[in-house]
Amino acid sequence: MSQLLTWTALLPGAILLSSLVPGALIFLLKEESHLLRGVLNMAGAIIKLVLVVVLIWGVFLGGVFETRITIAPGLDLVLHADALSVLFVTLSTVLWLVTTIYAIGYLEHSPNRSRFFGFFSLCVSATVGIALAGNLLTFVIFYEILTLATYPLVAHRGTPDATRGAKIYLAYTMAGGVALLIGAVWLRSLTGPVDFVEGGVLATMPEALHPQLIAIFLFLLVGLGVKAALFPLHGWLPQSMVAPAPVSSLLHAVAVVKAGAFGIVRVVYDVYGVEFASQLGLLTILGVMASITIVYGSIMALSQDGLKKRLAYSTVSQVSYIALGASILGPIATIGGVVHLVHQGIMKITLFFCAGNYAETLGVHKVSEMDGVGRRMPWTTLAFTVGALGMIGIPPIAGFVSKWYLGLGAAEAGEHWVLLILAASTLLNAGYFLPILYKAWFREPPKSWPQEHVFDSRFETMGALLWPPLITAALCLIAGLLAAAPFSPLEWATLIARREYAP
Amino acid sequence: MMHWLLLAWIWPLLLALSYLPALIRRRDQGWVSGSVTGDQRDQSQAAVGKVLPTWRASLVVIAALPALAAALMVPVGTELSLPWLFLGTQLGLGGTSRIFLLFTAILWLAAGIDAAQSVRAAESGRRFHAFYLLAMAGNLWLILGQDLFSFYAGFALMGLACYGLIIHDARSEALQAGRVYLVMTLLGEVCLFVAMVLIAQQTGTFIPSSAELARLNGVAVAFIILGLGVKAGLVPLHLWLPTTYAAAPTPASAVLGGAMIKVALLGWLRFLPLGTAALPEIGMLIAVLGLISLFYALPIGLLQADAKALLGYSSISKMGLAMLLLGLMLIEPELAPAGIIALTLFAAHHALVKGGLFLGVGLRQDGQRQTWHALAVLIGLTLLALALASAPFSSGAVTKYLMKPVLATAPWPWLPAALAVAAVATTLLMARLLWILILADPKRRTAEPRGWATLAWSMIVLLVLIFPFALGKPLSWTTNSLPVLIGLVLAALVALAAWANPAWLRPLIGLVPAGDLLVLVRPAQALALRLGAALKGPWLRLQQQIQQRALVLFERLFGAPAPDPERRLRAWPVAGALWIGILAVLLLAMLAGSALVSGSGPESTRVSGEME
Repeated sequence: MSQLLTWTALLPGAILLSSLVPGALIFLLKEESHLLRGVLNMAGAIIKLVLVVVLIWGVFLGGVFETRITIAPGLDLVLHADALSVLFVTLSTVLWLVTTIYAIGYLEHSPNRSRFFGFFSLCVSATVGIALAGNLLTFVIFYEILTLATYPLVAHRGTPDATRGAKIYLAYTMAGGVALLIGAVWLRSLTGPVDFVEGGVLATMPEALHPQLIAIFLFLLVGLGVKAALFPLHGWLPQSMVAPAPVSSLLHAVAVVKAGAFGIVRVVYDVYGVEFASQLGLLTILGVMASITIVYGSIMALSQDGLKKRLAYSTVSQVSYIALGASILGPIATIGGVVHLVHQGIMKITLFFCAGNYAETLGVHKVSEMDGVGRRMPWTTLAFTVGALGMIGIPPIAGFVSKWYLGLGAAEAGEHWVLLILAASTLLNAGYFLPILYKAWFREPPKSWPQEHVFDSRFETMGALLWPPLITAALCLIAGLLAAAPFSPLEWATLIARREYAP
Repeated sequence: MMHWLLLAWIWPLLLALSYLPALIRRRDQGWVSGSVTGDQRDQSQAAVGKVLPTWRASLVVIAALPALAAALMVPVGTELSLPWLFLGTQLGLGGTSRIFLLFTAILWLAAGIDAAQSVRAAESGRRFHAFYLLAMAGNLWLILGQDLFSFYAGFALMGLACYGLIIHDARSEALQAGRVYLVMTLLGEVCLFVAMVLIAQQTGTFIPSSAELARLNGVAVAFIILGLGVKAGLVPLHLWLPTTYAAAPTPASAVLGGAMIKVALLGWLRFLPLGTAALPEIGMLIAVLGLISLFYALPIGLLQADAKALLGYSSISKMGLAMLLLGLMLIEPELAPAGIIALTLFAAHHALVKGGLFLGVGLRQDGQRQTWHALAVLIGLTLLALALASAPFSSGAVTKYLMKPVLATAPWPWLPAALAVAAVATTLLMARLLWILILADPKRRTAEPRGWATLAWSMIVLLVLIFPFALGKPLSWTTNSLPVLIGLVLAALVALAAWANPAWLRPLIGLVPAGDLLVLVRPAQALALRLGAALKGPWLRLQQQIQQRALVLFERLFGAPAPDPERRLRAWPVAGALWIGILAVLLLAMLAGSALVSGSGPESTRVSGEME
């Protein structure tokens, strides 16, 4: 029996270490040892996936998985798996596996691969740490590790542009980190250790502390909003588009942006408690910020010619759906926001993979160069189409499911203006995605592509570049088409909402 | 038996998937663009001249067969529940949806036969056929699905896939029309989304029954009308309709004008609180909007030069009539049972006649002249035109007869007279259509045989001819004779005058271009763009300035080069090793610390485990 208990206590830590250890070893590898590095990467990713499957099953059955390390009296480092963390852990694990395959193909002949993959693994470990963090202290620690681990990835190419983008990224996120730290310390000084508990922990605080709690929320929101790219804290995101494609994919779909959004969800539901946050009027602030960001990001995306920049502004807009979901009181909107954490991830990573494929295979970086690209790279473009239509919210792709639940939740809560935001966002998304699809499928291809590489492959590009977007595009379709099936992201989000709103 | 409900719309989807392997090229073809070397250029030009193999072209024909079989064989009331699919799918076949399924399947089948013969170019034809299958799947899905999601998903699939059909031949008019179509369709879809959310919220279910729909408020009803009004071409949401019909290839126009426009009617019959709630104000509004559409489209249609644009205006007018009926039913709920039957049969009649007219126009325009074949096509077209004008002993007369009791309750005493005028105008419109078809030069004559397409088309004509005798009472056969007669006399007079003096009417033709109000949209769009550009410039400059300042400041603070000793630390092996070293020390310290605090490390984890 005791062995079993130890096992449940070790699992979260093991999941964390399954990417941390290979990452650390990769740093020591020589540049040329492709095979060993590949084996380390893939082994880590697959072991992590197996462990996460075990975790999903355990949490579904209601088990408690907690690794607790006491740093100093009263300062505990807690890794705790509840339904919400499992959702995020699963997302990052699956997408890490796919992105690793992609990155191995993408960086095949570029320098500094050991450095890249080392930090890459570190970055994923930090994300998993954020997901599994059981209290605010642990969260803040991993949040900062994430900032530091992604900096070398953004700066990877070492060009002046890349260093500049990375510096801007660092300035934004470090400043956000400071705000987050202040908020966390302040809150701790009021309440003692802040564990994440489903339903929130602050509702019982005396009324006299409420103004302080509001101020703390604002600090936390600024700290998290930087990574979640809430307007006006989003400035770093389009700048960091200089990073290599796998990094952008991971940054946008899983790691950095999601860490911010996930943090907001955590703070609203498991620290303040959504009903208490609503009482304090905090949800209104969050909702308005999210709505402005949704519309602003989409409008900016309309005029971008760089494909990755357009996608970056699209991320700014789409990630705020998650915050929007958190800002509406009621379980249905919660489902919508939380499930978008996953849906936006798989859709956006598909789009970035495809953008990387266009750049790597044809040298196409701009929307204006994409004429007829569907003829040359039909499968990539097919995956891109699925991702783009999903972003617009066309059923039956995953994006529609989130949009539906957000809309229905807002209507249930009597906040009908959210429907207008969703409608406007749909139209704007169509405004910047459909022209790309039209160009890609219906225009004639040019005489020659900007910089074409012909790979010795049956397919339109290297296999390692082609399969990841196809897999994630299939996931987008499956997540939508089988949304009501057991263990779909939607069902899991429903489980989360049920536990958050449990009496 | 109930699995036919699933097969009916999955089958075209599966056939559409069969186009995917065509995207993989064989190794010997390679991926280098066809225009790089002369040799390959020849190859790609050869590909342009190639046609689709017959088996592939015939996929669009067999795609509609399961749906037809389902409409004929599956008994009314059959249901199939698929709770795992999408957000919970409920397929079913009611009385109304069976009739919709029947005529929709017939139209997709007939237009499919036409497409299989007329759209055969290898590259673009393959694309057309794939989009055709997708649009068909969407259309059938939304008829068979009883839940909100199926309807919306099918609607979206159909609407988007149709874009590929419209811009098939990539002429600039087609692209223009396609763009307008897409914008309007998306607007409609967004409104429909809002409507669906409101329905789900106000009825509390995803499969609302008519009793539950009584809870809908005015806002929800308004969004239902708006969302589907785009598809129905409700004035002023009709901007896309005439140009699209004119630009699309014949089979696409046929399904657009016959089957897809009826989706709006189906949606209204399904989601409006007909017969359960009295909504006098909004009912009145809808009736008035319907009347406006009914009358607005007729004179503009008369001025059209293109036969298919003219047919588009006729559709707008006819859908206006349907809207009028819906509005009256919302005012007087007890009319609903009679009105729903009238509207369902009207939908069937109009779908067959309009689809037949489009296919016939295609046969006339593409085919040979002065042969018995051409003469037969003209006779068939005349019969269809008479049916659309509700001439006696036609399907139109039967549906007019069924509508009468509903129209009689309208609060306006002048309505019968107005409708008679509309009937005269419709007759004139049809006369004008025949006039265009008899005189106009064929746009593109093809040597391709159209045997099967003609056969399928004549089957539709036959169905339209049988319609009144199979479904109408003898009393109904002679409804509406007088206005049609007046219309015919007027048309004959005008024709005589035009014959005598051909220049007389010429200035009128094309006076109002297809898409009428679209002319007003363009300047508005240009203005909006200019305004946007004017606003965006300063905003971007401001943003850039702020960014630049911040950057300069940032560089000053952190940009100084590192002193020499630190530079050595930056070398990769050193830095990496340091990273791990620090990490390891930290972890160790943590573990040691926790051991000190609670006795031993493992025990502390066990404690937490036991708390479970």
